Amino acid sequence: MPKTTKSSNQEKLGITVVLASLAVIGFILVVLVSTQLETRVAELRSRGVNLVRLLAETPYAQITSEAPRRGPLHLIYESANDGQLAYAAVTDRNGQPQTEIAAPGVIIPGIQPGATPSEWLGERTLSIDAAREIMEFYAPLLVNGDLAGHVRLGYFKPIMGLDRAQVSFLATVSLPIFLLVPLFYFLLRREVRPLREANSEIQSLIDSRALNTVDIRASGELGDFLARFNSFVEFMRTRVDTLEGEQTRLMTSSKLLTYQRMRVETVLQAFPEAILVMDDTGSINYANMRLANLLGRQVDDIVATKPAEWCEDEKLREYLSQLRAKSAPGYAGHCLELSLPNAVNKTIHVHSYPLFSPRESAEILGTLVVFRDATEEVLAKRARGEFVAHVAHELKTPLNVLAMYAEALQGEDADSEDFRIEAVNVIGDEVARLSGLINNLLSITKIEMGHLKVEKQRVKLRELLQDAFENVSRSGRDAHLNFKLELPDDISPVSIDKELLRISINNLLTNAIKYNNPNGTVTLKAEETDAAILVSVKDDGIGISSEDQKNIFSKFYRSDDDKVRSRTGHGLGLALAQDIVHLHHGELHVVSEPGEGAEFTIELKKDSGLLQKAI
Amino acid sequence: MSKRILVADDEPHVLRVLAHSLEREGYEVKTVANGADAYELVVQAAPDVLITDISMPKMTGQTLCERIQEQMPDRQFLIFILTSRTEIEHREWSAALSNVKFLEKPVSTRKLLNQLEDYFDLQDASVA
Repeated sequence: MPKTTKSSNQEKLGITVVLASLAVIGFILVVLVSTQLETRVAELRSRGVNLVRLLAETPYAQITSEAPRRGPLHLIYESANDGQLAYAAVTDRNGQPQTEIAAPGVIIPGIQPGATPSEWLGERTLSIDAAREIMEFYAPLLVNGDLAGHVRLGYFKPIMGLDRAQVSFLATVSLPIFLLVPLFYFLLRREVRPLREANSEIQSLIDSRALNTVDIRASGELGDFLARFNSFVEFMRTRVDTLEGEQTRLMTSSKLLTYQRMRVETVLQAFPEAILVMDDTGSINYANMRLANLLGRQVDDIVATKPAEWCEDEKLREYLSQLRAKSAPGYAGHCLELSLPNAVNKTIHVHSYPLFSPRESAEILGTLVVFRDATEEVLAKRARGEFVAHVAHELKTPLNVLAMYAEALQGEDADSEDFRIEAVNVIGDEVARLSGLINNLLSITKIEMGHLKVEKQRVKLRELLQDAFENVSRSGRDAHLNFKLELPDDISPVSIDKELLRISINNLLTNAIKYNNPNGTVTLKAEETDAAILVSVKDDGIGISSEDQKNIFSKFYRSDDDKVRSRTGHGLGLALAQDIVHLHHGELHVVSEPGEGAEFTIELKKDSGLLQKAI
Repeated sequence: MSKRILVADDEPHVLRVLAHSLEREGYEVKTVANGADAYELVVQAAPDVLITDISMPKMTGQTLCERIQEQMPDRQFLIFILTSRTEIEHREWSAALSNVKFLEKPVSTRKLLNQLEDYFDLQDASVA
């Protein structure tokens, strides 16, 4: 509290004390004056009554005589020199004045004598002007027992005022009051000084926000109060010290926790999977950026919410709500497979793991939910299944033909020579088909599993192509086809796996024979440019539609075209040919139009390591 | 009047040997190499038995069967599904259709002929 306010309070206290003393004095004065007035009235009444009775005893003639000497009324008037007697008068029985004497300026009022004797003696108060009143005392004058008239004495009625005679008395009373009041005031001030000092010190403590004891000597209740106050301050000081120590410890713990939390969050953010952490009430405590991206939301939209507030996928919402309902351990391993709107082409596996308390292993603090992108795994699994199904189908198809012809040959059909010849040819074709399928399948599997070792060697490509051409043209001679070999005189030797590339070229030549028209031509050609060596196989058969060209290098693909389907095949030849070319860092291209034949070209680039090493 | 059998398979050798065996048993046989042609023939004149593969160009055996079921809910003829596709899903959709038998390749021609004979005997007995 400011000092000006304190001094102002002290001045107010002083003024209050002075005013109080003045009020006391004033009250005493009022009481004194009031008492004095009543006393004077009483004295006046006593004097008036006594005197008027005394005069009433005076004989009527005597009291009304005026000469030769002055009568009793004049004597009384003159002897009463205190100025209180206003008039003295005698009236006859009819109220007519007989003798009278009055103070200057006073007009004696008339009187109407009473009818009965009880009304002949009395007192009345009369107003002679606005400021003054007269107390009149009257008594009957009797002559022989009869009413002869009235003697009347009028006195000025005392008014409220200080009697000069009382001034000394008043001074005697007021002086000690005047002296005692300041004395009491200073005594009071001295008594309350410790309290004021204590108040001031406490205020200073509040202003300075310090917890110090108050060093003021005081006795009595104030002393007890200050002692208790100091004890309280000591207690509070100890308490504050304890709390400050606790606060420091908590702040250190908080910083440590923040640091550890940041470390954990950094790890979780770097985690390759999308992560969600739920507490035991089902609220989400944490979500990493991967999850936010996966769900197409902001992290802040997810954290501190319930899944029902943002999760649009019904399956996921139900899954997460069931996790909340779990109270016992052992629900890890539950997996939900779903596709989310924000990643429709992805297959997400959702796994949940209970988060156990480090102190109490049976207590679950929450749940860790991991969203794993299982797209590749699912596709690989599906591809494996489809591959096996394709293989089984392609194996069973020639086996079925073999079984049916074998069964037919066991029956009556064996009697027909034409059927026997047909059966032998079909069985031969199907066995060759089976053998080719198995070989291609093994080669492709080896390549895809990475188990095929490329045996590079320096190869004269011209000789390799001539050899392959002769083998294939020999076997295709029955198909009534023309075979052309167009090779330059000199082709640079290359470093390739001779047997693998022979398979690739053989598959292209076999297809050229299979899908050619009767009397068509199969051409094997080689060409060397500055950048590459090109080996092409061309036919003028049924051709390949642009739609089929997109798929012919896929495993087990077979066109819906009847002309293709009428030829046996298993859909692996071109896939294997392309895999082998890719192993040599080359490319396999096709150019074709339906009905216009097809030309497949192997492009072995000279800047590839395999080829340059040999050149 | 001989029973009419329609065989749909994209393997020419299978068509050839099946047609040979069925005709020798006295059946009137028509062969097609894809599902679309098979459906066209079924719509033109419903056979007494349809023998079909699943993996066929233009229209698969599954589509052929489901379309027949949809367009001809009151059909009377039997469908033999003759296939090397033995995945569970193929067995499931075929089981959902009425009057369909599933035979896995490699199939015994004799077994097929016996089942056809039993079927037609049952048909004739019920008509009589």
